[in-house]
Amino acid sequence: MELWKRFLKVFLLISIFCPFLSLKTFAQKQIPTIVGISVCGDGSIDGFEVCDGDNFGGKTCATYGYNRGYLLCVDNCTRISVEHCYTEPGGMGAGGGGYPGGATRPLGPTTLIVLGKAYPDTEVKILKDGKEIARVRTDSQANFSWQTTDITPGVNSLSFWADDKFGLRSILYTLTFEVMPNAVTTVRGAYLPPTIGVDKNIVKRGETLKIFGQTIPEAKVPVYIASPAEIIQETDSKKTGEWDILFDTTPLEDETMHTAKSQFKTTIEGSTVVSGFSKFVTFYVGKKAPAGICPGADLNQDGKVNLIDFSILLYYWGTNNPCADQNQDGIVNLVDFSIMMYYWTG
Amino acid sequence: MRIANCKLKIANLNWKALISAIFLSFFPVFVFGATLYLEPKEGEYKLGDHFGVKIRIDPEGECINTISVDLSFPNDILVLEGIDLGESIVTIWVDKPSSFDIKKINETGKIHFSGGIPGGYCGRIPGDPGLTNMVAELRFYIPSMMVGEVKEETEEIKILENSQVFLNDGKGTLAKLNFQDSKIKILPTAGGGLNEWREKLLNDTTPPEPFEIRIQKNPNIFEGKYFIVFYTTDKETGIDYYMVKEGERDWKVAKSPYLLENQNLDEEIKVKAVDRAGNETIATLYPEKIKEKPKAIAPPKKEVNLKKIIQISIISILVLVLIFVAVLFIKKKLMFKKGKNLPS
Repeated sequence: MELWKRFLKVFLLISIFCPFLSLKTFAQKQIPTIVGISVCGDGSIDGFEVCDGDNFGGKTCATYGYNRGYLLCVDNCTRISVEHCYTEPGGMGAGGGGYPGGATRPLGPTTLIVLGKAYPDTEVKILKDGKEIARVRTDSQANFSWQTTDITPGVNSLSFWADDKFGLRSILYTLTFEVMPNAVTTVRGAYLPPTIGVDKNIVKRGETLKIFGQTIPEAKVPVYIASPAEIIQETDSKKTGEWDILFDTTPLEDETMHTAKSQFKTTIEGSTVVSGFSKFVTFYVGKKAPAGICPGADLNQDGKVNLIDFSILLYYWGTNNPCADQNQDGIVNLVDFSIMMYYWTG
Repeated sequence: MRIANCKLKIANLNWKALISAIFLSFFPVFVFGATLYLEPKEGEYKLGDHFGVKIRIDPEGECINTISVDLSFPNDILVLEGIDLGESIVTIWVDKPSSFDIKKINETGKIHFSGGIPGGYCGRIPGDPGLTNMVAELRFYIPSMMVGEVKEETEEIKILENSQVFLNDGKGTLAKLNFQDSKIKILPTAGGGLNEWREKLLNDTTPPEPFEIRIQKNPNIFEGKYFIVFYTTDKETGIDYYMVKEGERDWKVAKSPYLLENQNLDEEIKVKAVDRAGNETIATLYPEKIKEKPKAIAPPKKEVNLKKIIQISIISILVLVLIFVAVLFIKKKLMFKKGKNLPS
């Protein structure tokens, strides 16, 4: 019986401890931004929608105090219009929603709306299937919105990137989803992670390193510095979105390359929002750093990573070209292609 | 008696709690890593049937950017009819079979794909009406002429162990990968239902997306000669192949990057993207040298003429004024001389 009790205790301990182990593993993974899609025109009320087509969630003109007429779903399913509701003395009761006489809603164009955040007063580049198709400006609160009807229904891959006020480039943030025909697909929460840079690429151990960047205004910015044990320092972004930390490099290993990355945490419309991770920035702690060859997969060194670089990569496929061989393992292969996909700008 | 019952209940409760806790605790550990899987997991087909097998990826909380898939199928029973890439999440292909490769694939029973998603793919977005995780769909056919020769049997379409998925971390880290194959049960009876793939090809009238051709020259590529790069997508059935035409030469099946035959850049270049249904989109490029020629022979614009006229007029007026002033000056001098010579 004693043995059984011990066995039970051990199992209970494992049971309590294991979820934390699993959670820790999960926490180390990239936490996705809270991004959501709603489709106005599919008849289903989802996301920020209050109605969809003829679906008013059981509401009628009577819900709004009228006894005649019909409701209309407007503003991309975010508002119910009572424009056609009215009161008639001795009226038999209000109708439901939709068009009178049983008419069906006319088919609209296939529309895509994207609402997101980047950095205050900057230009966001929008890519479709890896190619730049539009640019939009953000406001002082880093918000941007973009709408198009020039989109083919089906699976679409939309990517976003921006340069900040320091000239630092964001990570390429990609969303892959299905666009419904003759409906308005709205993507909310396309939030670009912060930009990140360092004031020195080589720093002597014990010196202070300034890690800085830009993100949305007044958000928490945790910065993760990779070392045998990850070091996390947190700061707040200013009203202009700028942030920085002064990092003491004493705990870092000498004569070694290190990396740092960041993300933002904030509350938007009552929900806690955590962005994805920024691009990682590298710095060397020691005296002399090894030379980098064609850094950031920009193989023709024109400041962009696009189809031209991809073509150059394919040209050198299977060879040991030092420029295309991004991880310097002696062969140009899928690993180098993966690095190129990470640095893509379109 | 009550105490005994209570003990029994506690014992029962412990068991339930123990089992639940162990299950919940270990479950996240077991599902760690991306899953490359085939859909349907199991299928039952008759001779003459046409069916599709979808290759899907579930990143399971990771963000991935490159997928390389190797598959094998029983080529003695199944015939690959086509490959549908229209709904693929992969946007940049490194390697994908075209319709020209189908014969070879059926001979070997092996298929290879590799490509990537710029910026990565982190899984299905909440609210997305589709699953949006398909890499490709393989369309198979079971030849009907095997009636009487085949017994009921179960075969597998397998994802091979050398398939790889890379994380979108800028380091090219390999993702931990789980595989799920597809079991195909073949019944020795005549079937032959609808050929969905043929229907899809017939209904696909949408050409590939418009694209552009870019001329490039790099001292380290093609010995510094001119080459072109091109790429596009097709949302219905996917791009099958590209063709290039330089000037009056014939169309040639080509891949990007393409070394130009005519290095003088004095001919029109055309690239044709053809989807799996045969729809085409043609991009045309007039190299700089061609562009310059029409400019040289083009008649001068009206604006330029007007400017020149104004300039000439002003110069003429200025010259006339100068002549007039000079004449006046000379006349005055002559008058002054005459006045001096007159006897007082």
